[in-house]
Amino acid sequence: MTARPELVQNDGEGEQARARLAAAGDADAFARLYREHAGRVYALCLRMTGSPGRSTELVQDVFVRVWRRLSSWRADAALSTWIHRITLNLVISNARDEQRRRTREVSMNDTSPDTGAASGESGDTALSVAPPTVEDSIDLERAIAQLPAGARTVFVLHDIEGYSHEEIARLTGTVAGTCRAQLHRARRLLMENLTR
Amino acid sequence: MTTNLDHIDAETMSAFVDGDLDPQAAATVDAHLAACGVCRGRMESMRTLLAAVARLPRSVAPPAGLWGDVRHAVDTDVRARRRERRWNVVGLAAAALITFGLLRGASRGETTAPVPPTAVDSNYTAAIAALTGTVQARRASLPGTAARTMDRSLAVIDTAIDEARRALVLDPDNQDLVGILSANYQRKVELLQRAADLSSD
Repeated sequence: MTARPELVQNDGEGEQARARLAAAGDADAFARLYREHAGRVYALCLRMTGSPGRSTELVQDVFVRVWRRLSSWRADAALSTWIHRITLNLVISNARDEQRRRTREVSMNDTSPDTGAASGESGDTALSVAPPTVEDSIDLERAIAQLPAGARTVFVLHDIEGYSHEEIARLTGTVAGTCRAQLHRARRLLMENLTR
Repeated sequence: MTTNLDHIDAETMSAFVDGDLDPQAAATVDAHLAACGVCRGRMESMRTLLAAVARLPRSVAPPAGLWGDVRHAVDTDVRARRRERRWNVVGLAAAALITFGLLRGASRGETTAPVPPTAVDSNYTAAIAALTGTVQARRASLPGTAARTMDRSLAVIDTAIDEARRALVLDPDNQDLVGILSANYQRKVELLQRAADLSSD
């Protein structure tokens, strides 16, 4: 996996000790573990699903799995990395279930052509105006939530979480070329959305 | 890459920003950007977007009441898994009862004398002794009525084992009886293992 900076302070031995306590059933230790990691888990769920309601359900599922499997964490990776992977697997599995239920959703194989890009006309006209003011991260989060599911998944995993196209392809069961196309689509849609 | 006489397409621009173009393609884009104000504007827009994305917080505070929901979900999961284990214990005891009933019909006579060891015994004696020691040491940790349930189940299985052993004394070459005895020993091992797991939760 592409290295990415740890965003949660890892105090090594202290983390291992707390995890052992939590795995042994110490409720306070588990509560602390939740406080330390829930923000990252919720952020990933929220951006991948675009739904606060579904995200809270997924966070519960994540921490139930963490509870069940904590005794198997071997500290060869940071606890945050281990929890992140559990979250990712659950969110992607949820996305596949949603895809099956909502047949009108754009599939992961949808690589709608970027029409008009070469000439600078129509859909890309927005890109030729002055750079949008995207200082308000709330607008950006909202715009990300409005992306089609496939484009949103790739955008969040690549541009926010730092995964490579090859890693995203493995995680989502598609190919790197499709991921690249979805990423370009997401960026174009965000630019269009944010300059309205 | 598509770089026609006019402008760079969005996909190429996106790949260029990510550093995914080969050196020749990247040089072509560079040269175009030097000459085209429209594409420079687009490139700036994309870089501004990506810079804003990079500033997004990696952590978002979940709703205040979510910890309560998580705790409830974990508690529910723990209770459900314990119930599942208890039902497995009951299932093992039920299987032993059925076997006991079959043995009652199969035995050729009863004896109250001690039963000599059978070849099957040695396969399980050590494991059962070790597990029994573990369970007895942790007996106080067994939840609720699990200890009494375990005792009743063990009594049923031990009776089935005793019946099978007595039947084998009378018919030592009966492979069906060997199979029944082995199966009941295995049930005893599984029951004791489940009790050991429960008592370590």
